[in-house]
Amino acid sequence: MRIGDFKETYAADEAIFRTPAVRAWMVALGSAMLVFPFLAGDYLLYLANLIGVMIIGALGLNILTGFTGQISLGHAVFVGVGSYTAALGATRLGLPFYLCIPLGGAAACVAGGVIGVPSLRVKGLYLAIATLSAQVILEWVFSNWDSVTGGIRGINVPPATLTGVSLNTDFRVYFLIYAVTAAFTYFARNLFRTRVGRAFIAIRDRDISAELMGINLFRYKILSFMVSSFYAGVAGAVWVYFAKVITPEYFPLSLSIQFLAIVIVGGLGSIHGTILGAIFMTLVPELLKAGTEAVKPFFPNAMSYLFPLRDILFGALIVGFLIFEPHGLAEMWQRVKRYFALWPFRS
Amino acid sequence: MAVPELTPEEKEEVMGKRKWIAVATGIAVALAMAAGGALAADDVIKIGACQPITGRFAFAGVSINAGLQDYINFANENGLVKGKKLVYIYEDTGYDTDKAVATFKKIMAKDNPVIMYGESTGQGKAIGPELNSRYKVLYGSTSFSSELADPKIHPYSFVSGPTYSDQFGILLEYIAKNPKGKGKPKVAFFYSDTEFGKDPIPYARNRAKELGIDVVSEIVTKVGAVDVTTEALALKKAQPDYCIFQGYVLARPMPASDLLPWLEKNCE
Repeated sequence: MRIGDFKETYAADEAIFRTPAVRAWMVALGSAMLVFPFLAGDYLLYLANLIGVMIIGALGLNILTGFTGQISLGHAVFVGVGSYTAALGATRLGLPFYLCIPLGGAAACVAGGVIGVPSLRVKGLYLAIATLSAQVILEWVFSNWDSVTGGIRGINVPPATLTGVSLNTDFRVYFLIYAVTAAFTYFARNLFRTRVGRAFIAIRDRDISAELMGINLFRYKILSFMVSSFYAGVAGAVWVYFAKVITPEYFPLSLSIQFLAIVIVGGLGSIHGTILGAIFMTLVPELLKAGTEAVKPFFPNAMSYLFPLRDILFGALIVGFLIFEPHGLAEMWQRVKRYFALWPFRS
Repeated sequence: MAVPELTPEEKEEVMGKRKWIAVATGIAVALAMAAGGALAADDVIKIGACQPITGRFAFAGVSINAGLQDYINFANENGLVKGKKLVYIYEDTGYDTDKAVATFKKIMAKDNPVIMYGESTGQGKAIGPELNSRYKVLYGSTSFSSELADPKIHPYSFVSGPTYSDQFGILLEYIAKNPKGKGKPKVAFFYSDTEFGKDPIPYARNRAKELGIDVVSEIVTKVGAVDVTTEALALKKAQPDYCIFQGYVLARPMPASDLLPWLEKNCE
């Protein structure tokens, strides 16, 4: 049992992974993630890749909503801007993926900066509606600017190539996705130990106090929108190399809401909560589906009733989470950890 | 198997403990049968399908699924495939491209069928590159997109009927040959704001120009729109001789004389 939190050097105080136990677990997680693609089949790999992309996108939204307190209902279109930019870079300009991905992020970053401007004047629900307009406008642009976005038919993108190796299977794309995911998780984790990250948190907690303390609200709110959109754009660009086709149908309002759900279920203002949320929101519907598949042979004629039951159950699960654990999966994780750390005493 | 079909009222009872034991036993039996079935794999032809049983295309997905299942039963009962039994494997996709692709990979990994049936144009496009390079199975779907019908891009994908563009072309040619009154025939396009609603429109505009048909109005309805009064009024105002609807799933093809009675019977 741990009885105190003592640090004797500045290095120990600044460390991200603070205890030997945490470091050991991180190494275990890293090696498990490296071994996973060699063991998993196509289906699991595909789901893992999907989760990876969702993690990058949701981290972006958590920086904006969870850490800076600015709600956004337009996150999906920033993912879209990143996707289209990367796809255009890859098809029209023939750029390699390691340029297209930052390019997608940069384009989304600019779009996010513009959309973020109203955030200085409007807050809360009003900001939600302001960002909703971005969703509607950009979604319309995606499906109607035929000469650039290819309209409703979208753009087909060739797979990424790295030193002559084509990343054309889920197995190969896995390493690309998780390299990017790991880098961006690390960045996000560190961001909130810097001046900028702390300014974001101050704005979330009370914007007027933050301003009184000398934080330039306009600058930091826009910055938060830009960082968040950069994440979204990178998620979109990585998505392009994973899906190899993009159409406007990939970026509906429901995707924005799904990101919001990931952030809320996972835990607002928590990096590892975001990761848990992305895993939960992707895997639980698949698990519920596997459940209905298992009973399918017994009720062959009741499928049209049983399948929708799954969605109802998933909805009920989310509501259950919000009621019993409003701080999300992250808090649940902390509670479990505390239980083991304090055992045999009650936490 | 052992459990008969249930009415919705009875479904709650099924959740009872005893039934679950029955289900668990059933699963064990099914697994045993699956293991037994694997031995006789040579006599079986597997057909996989990703069907939108839920989601906003469910109204069609449920029927398409039932239709495929019925035909496969029919083929088995009448021995249409000599000495072989067709097995139909389907899973729900929720009409979501990501989930549909995941479902495709899941069925391929688990059952490795020789034919796969997909749910949408989006799925066909998303699965396309891997279909060509890895899976190489015969692929059909509930999509009549001309891109999926292109043997250069999608050699394994087959479209079972005229593409959306061809459907429009056929109607436009009929209109050009059977004008109402004098002057250029006036046609309105009335389509839904969906992938399959908009797919043939660029082709249709060109074809109409070539055939000397005047497109007097193009009206787009939102997905899931319940009230289309304004759109219908706009259509009335445009005064077309003909109107072509695209991107709606209503019913089987039927003569115009049957349509109104059908609508009265099936719509409020």
